[in-house]
Amino acid sequence: MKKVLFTHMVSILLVTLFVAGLLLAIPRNLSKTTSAGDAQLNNYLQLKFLNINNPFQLALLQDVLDAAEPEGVQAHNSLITRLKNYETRQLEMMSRGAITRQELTWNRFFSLLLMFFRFLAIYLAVLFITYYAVETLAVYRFISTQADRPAFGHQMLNIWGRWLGHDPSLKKISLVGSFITLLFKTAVKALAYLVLFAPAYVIAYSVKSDFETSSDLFMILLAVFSNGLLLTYSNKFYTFLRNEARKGYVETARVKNLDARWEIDVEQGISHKRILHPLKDFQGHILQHIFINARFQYVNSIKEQASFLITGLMIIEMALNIHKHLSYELLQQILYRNYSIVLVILILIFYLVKFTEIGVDMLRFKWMKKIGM
Amino acid sequence: MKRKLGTALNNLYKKKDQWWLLTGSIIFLLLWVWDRLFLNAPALRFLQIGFLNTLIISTLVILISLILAWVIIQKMFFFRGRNWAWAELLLTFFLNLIRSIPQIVGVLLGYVLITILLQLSILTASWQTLLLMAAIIALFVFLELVDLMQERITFYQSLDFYNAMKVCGISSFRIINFNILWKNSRGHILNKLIALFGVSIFLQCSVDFIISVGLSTKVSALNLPVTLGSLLAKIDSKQDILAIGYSFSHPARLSRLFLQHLQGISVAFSIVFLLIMIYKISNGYAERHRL
Repeated sequence: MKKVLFTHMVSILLVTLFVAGLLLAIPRNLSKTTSAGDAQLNNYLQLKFLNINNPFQLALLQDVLDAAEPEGVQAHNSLITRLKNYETRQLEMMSRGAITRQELTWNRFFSLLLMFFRFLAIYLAVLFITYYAVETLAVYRFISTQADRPAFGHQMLNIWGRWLGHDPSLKKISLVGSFITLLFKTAVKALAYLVLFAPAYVIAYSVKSDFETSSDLFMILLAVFSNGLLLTYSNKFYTFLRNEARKGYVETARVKNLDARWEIDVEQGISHKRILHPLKDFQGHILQHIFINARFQYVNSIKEQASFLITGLMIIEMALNIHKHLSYELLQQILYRNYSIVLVILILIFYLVKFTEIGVDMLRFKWMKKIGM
Repeated sequence: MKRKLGTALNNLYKKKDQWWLLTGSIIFLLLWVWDRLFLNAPALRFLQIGFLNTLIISTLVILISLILAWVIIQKMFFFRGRNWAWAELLLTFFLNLIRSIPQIVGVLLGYVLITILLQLSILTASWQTLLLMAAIIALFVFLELVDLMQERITFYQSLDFYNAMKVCGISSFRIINFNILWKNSRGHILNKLIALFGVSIFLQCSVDFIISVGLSTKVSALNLPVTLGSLLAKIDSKQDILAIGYSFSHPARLSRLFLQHLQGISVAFSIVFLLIMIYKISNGYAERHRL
């Protein structure tokens, strides 16, 4: 554990030093390039007869320059593009109000820190909720598979096969009833999939007229139930459970008479209460051993899950333009080219990722000790 | 005949990856027919271009990821073979550094670079932009493939067969590339590539959406290739998406969704259904090959 911790710390230190160096270097470089770029354009901007908002005049200027200096066509193209972009930039600045070159002051830093803590709180809440949901969904699916319950699609195909089978003893009306019930269940499942896999901004825009989409609670719900996070990672946990169930020790445990009924709320089975409990414990059932080993294998995937979650949260804040949130601030500062503030936000996110990794590694070592590895 | 069809469908259903590829393609075909009938021609043209561009970029992403991952793995095991611990450490450090940057941030910064290159007229052809977009996304997703390859190679190196082959005089390069990666990990790699295809679509649509609503709108709208994400960010599409929520509270207007708000609905459905389809294909493939 010490070695792993040391590697993380070295990485944090090196990146911090690198970013600190950039922070010291950026403001000077930035002012130089800005003034150099503006100086080149200024000669043309000061021409009173030239209106850079008029495309015809710009085209005319390009023709005149090309005629005067036929060898510099490429440079003239670049100049005209820059003049056009200057206009674009000015328009953007006007549409967004006052512009917005900001220095990194202590006040600014503390306001960023507050935004970061807000982001952290939402992130932790979503991480715990999704981890719980991932485990729970995977266990339910695993039990269902072990009990050999066929999928809806399979059941529908079976019904169709029986319908085509021309068996006179079959009551076709009951088959139609079963088919309609299954069709309804499949439709509900498909709808759930569409919602769970929809990118957060699609869901948010579709309910924007009915809900306050910038509240923290809405963000948490959106992060949990969108972007395919729940299904992707519950499937991963389920795969670990399934792979464990194929191992020899499961058969040994069965021989040793451990409970092995894959049914819910029956004797020797598993209760809903135990599945839904945050600290899952299936003592006395074969699932306990499968679950513990699968959970241990999943622990490294928590890093991946956390990273995907951070990406998801940032997408939500950026796409929905949620003001005074860290990611929206990052987007705005990239737009205004305030690179010192961008760097501070990036390093804060980097720390979050790193501390999550450290936390997950500590958890892994703790569980390794627990199972005697 | 009917019974044969039933059996064939049943058999196909057992191969979930192929089943989803087939049903998914049929559903997209139906969507295209519906759009052809009821969506106006310019919007349909944009939708087709956006859909194709999205698929092209994602395909390029997985190709670039595969190349990047393969090169990194070669270097890593080359350093390990030579006992150049410092070089391996340096490489691992840089990989971890990329890993520590959330994918969306990395891709967003990359897109900022693209807009700057477009403004400076360095990127002139649309294929260059598509390629660069794919390369940027690949840079932030290929690590998953590196991890997988590394895990497979390390696992096989711990078995006797690796040393046995070395004793037989077969080079490490051949054992790693042919015996481990090609013969014993092809399925795993293909499955990971399918998953990366989905991740790439998700990231691409998200960044295009974010850029179109929050960043330099004029630049992106004019110069970046049309994708499903940028189409979704269009004001018409957003109004169409808003109409979904409105229809839930006013069910009488539900039918209008599929006729009057077709552009946004089609784009949103294409994104979501593509993601579901890829997820199902990847799972089906893993299940069928017991990966």
